[in-house]
Amino acid sequence: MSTIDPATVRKRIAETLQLPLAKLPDERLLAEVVRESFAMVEMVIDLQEEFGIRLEQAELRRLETVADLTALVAAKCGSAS
Amino acid sequence: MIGELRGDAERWLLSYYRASEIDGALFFGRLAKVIRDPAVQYDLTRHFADESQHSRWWTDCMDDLGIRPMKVVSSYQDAYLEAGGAPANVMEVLAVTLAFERRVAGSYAAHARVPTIAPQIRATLAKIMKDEGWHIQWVSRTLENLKPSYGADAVTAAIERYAAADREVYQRTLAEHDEIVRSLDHFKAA
Repeated sequence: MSTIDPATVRKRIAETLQLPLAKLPDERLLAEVVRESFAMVEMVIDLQEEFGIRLEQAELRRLETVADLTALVAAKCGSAS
Repeated sequence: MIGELRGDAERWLLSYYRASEIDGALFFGRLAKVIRDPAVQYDLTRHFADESQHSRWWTDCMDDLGIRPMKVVSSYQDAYLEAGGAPANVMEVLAVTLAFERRVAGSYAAHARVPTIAPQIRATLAKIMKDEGWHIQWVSRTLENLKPSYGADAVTAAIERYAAADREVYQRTLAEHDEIVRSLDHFKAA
């Protein structure tokens, strides 16, 4: 598995949520970006399928911002490479 | 008066079923688009189509009975995710699905046991319950298949966690369904 940078993760999130990248600044709260529970589940599953990683509930509970999520996914990709 | 109450209760109940099936279809439709495991993708897509078809059957049933669907604000999905935590991976999605499908099958079966329900409702319940049996079967089988990858303990823990969440949500939310079914029985037997 290759290393993934957070910008690539952000691009994937934008595609899944059908949002422009400008709406996903690092500091933006995930709760503001994804207001609906189904969309959150879809986004989280899509990231795992796309990047070949596995996320756990405890990890997701700690996330607050877009940067937290992109960093977590990037780190998981790196640790799995 | 009793007839009016029964009519409102039935209209709410059938509208609730219809809305729940639509919500299920929307949830599984989203997941069917992103999950790549071929076996899970195949069954999940069929599950999505079933839920969509069920919403059509309830709409047909209501139309046949001359009842118009009412807007039902149902937040049980959010309540499930709040009580058990949002599923973080495919295994947890299936674990929450198993808990919910078991509850749905039980609720439909309870309704089907009311002796005096309209033939259209009985026929619709019978058609849907056949599919519900398959839903529980494929989800259970897939969770079993995921044990080597996720760990048997993790799969068992997720199933137990969402079963506990189901019991909590049922006490808070879905018990209303059973009360209404019981009221239908009471009114019609009166």
